[in-house]
Amino acid sequence: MSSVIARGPGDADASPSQSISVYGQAFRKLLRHKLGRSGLAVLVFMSLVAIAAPLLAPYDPTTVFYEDFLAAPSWRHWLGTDDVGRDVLSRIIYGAQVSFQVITVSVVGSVIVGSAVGMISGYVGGRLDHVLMRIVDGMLAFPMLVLALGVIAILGPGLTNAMIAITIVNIPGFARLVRGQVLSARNLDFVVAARALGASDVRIMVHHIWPKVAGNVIVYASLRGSAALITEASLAFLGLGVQPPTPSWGGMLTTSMQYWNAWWMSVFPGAAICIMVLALNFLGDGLRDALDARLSE
Amino acid sequence: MLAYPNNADAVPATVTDAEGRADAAATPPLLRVQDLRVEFATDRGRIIAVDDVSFTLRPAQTVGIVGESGCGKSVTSLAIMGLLAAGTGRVASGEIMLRRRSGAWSDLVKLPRTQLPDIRGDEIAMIFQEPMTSLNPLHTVGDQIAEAVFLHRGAGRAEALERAAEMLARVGIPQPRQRLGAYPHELSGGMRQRVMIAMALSCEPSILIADEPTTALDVTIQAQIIELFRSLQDSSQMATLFITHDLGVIAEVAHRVLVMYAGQVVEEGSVVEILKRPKHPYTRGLIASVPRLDRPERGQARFFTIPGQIPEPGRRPPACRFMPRCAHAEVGICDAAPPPLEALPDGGSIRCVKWRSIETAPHA
Amino acid sequence: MRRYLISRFIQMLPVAVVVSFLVFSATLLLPGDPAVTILGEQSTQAQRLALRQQMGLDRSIPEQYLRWLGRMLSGDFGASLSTQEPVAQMIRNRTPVTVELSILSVIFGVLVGIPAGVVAAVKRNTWIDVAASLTAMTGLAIPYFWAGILLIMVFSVHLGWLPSSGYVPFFVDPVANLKAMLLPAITLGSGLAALIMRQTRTSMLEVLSADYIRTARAKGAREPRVVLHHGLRNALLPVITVIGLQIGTLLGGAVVTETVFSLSGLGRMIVEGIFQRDFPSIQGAILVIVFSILVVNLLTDLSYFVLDKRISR
Repeated sequence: MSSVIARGPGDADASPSQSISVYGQAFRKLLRHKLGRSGLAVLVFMSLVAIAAPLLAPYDPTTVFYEDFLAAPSWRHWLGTDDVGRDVLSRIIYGAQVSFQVITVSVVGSVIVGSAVGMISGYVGGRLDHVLMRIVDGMLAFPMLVLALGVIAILGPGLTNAMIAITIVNIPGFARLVRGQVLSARNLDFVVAARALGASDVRIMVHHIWPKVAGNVIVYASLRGSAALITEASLAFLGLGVQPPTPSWGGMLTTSMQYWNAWWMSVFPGAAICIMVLALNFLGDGLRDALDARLSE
Repeated sequence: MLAYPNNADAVPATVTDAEGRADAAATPPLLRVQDLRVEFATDRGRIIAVDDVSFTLRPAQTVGIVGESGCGKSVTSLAIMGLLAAGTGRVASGEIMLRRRSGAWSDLVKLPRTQLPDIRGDEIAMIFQEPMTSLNPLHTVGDQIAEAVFLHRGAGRAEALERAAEMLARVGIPQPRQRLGAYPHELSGGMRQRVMIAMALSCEPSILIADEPTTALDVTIQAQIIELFRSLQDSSQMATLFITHDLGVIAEVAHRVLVMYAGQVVEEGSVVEILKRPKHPYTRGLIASVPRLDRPERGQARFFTIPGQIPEPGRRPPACRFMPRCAHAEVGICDAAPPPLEALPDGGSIRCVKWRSIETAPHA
Repeated sequence: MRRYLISRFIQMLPVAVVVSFLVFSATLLLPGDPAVTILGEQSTQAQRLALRQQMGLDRSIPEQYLRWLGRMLSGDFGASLSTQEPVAQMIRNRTPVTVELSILSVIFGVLVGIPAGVVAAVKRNTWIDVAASLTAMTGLAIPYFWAGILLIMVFSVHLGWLPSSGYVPFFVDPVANLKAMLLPAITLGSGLAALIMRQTRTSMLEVLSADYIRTARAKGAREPRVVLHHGLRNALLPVITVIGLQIGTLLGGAVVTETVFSLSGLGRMIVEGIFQRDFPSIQGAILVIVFSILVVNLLTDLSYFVLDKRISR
């Protein structure tokens, strides 16, 4: 998350130093926010674990221990083994890679496409705006998972397609958010002044309007992150996301449903999803408190 | 404001007539508030909202409490009702002695909280400033009035509604029976305040607390509601605590007056004394700031206002709290020590060390 | 009232058109030639051309859309590619399951969420309030499928109290039906319960500081009566909106819940359709789900309007 915040100042060339202090202040505010701070800490920890998986995981996630299948948690396998004898802890650690990958790619993707659509829609206005917003309304009428399933139905199951589906599903929300903000920023003095000075539309959008909008987009992105994670896990659980043998939290839960007595197979991957969702929600709350007041001024 | 006279020399003769009744020391009091102190817990520590307030209320008597908003008059009434916001406001010291219907005395401060609902709405009733929001939007006015009867008299629904219709008729609502099924939003502000009064009077309380009951209403409606109060006073032994910032209303309904400033009583006396011969500079300022339409030659639409603002509870001057705004303030005298509430021979009292010298001075 | 109804309906129309067009356009985006998909690789060029003409695939997109929409509106959803069963028939068989599941989970959400929200508001800032808020926060973070798995593990596998699958239609055996639906309803309703609890708490806190609550206390009403008789009714209005708005999330969650508990509902129909590459049944199920959401949203608005009429604003 910190990389996104750090990118903020570069966008606002009008007064970079002021922008840096705005985001710097927001970041310090986030660190003072109890829930936001713990959410951030958990996510940083989890992402480090995911990155360092080959170093940290006790075993390879696909290594099969024939003598140990369906073994309960023990010193050898802290979180037990699954039905074919693979180490659950190792699979959870590697599964985090999939989760982070899907969240990052799909949220960044939908931020880029959604913001672009919203900016153009709000800035150009007129019939284009009308048509785009009707499409957005239509897409928002679908439950997220159902829309994602529709996309998967066309593209077929798999990790890449799941990421595309989750990206598409999140686009309308960002488009609507950004459009609303653009509409209110469009007539602000400094935008009008920039236009009077002959700045191009693209320049005005990127350099003058986007910095005003960015804070809310960041907050919304962190909240959509948890929804993206749940959708990813749901698709994997339904067998439509990441395909075996690549470990994923949702996929591990699917397998666990055939072995009810091996509680460790369902409890730990589910808890991993839960913790990450909570951390993302906390971070979102913290960011909202830290950024909203700042940027809505 | 033309509906009733405002100023000292225009105090209606009826006030003096009522005086005799009100000052009859022979009638034992109904309510005796003694050294009441109310504190609020805030983020910035404890705040004393009401400081050593004392007064008594006798049957058929109306005591008015006047002062600017924030002087503690509403807090005083909420303290009597036991309706201070739980967790933040509390009575820190003092007593609120109520003579019950049984004749026994109860200290409402010490009474267990669970017993207060038996008193509220039955022995002490209250009406509020905002008739627009004080009625429950989802219940009919009939049900809301009947509820009080049901709660305290244990009446059945039909019986309670019958009583509600009776009360609506008494407060001057036409076609009371048809109005029972009306929802608050179907009634005007004046009508809603009549409904509130009907609700308050439905169990024939011995004390009615009216907290700015006319402030939110149009002038003509105000006059009608005041008229209603007067006719109710004439027809019952109910005592009324009437809270307002409007001296004109006080002149119309009150027998005795408490002037409050920054949480304290600064002057107390009969309505005639207070309005005709105000002693405290604050009272004098209040009276002088009432617009005078009856004497346009003086001031010509120029309003006198007391300079400055009521100090926040945390920033009150240590001695006389009115000193920063007072035209007669004297360094070395007024900031020496907190002025005591001095009893006057006529039964009133005053909290000002310089009142004797001010009295002879020209009117503020 | 009628004017409001009509205006709300007119507002909904463009959304309905866009939704149906999106579902329709999926057919255009499908990779491969539908004629080949249906006739198989061995079919001749002439056969394919004839089928395309018969299916109207040679016409313009707007024309195809209108013809498609006409068929959908007349209840002709086509036939399943895998079983040849009419999709309309499949939808008729599966809708009751999803409808019952949704209704039961709303009931669960209301029965748990509203009392919890009221208690949290009345006892605000006490450990009860904190515990309720923490539970709600966790409840919202638990994915449906994990909640379902944990419930099965505890109540079906370990305690043996309730079945983990085996749907029986309500009118065949109500007791067996409710036993089979209880765990799915709790699974799907837990998130809703958390949201209802939060909304009830928020609006209850707002209502409890209202002037008419003070009036009720001044009248001598005791706290339980103040809270339930005067407070709750007013606090429930925004709660109704939350429930209405959550229908979409609920039906999305029905997809996974039906999978966990092997219920043959509309959600499961989509997932099975994807595995069998049975596009007509996916399309039909999605269309029915999204349109029922639009209808529920409309009804929510109307119910709020009817109740809100009594409030002067």
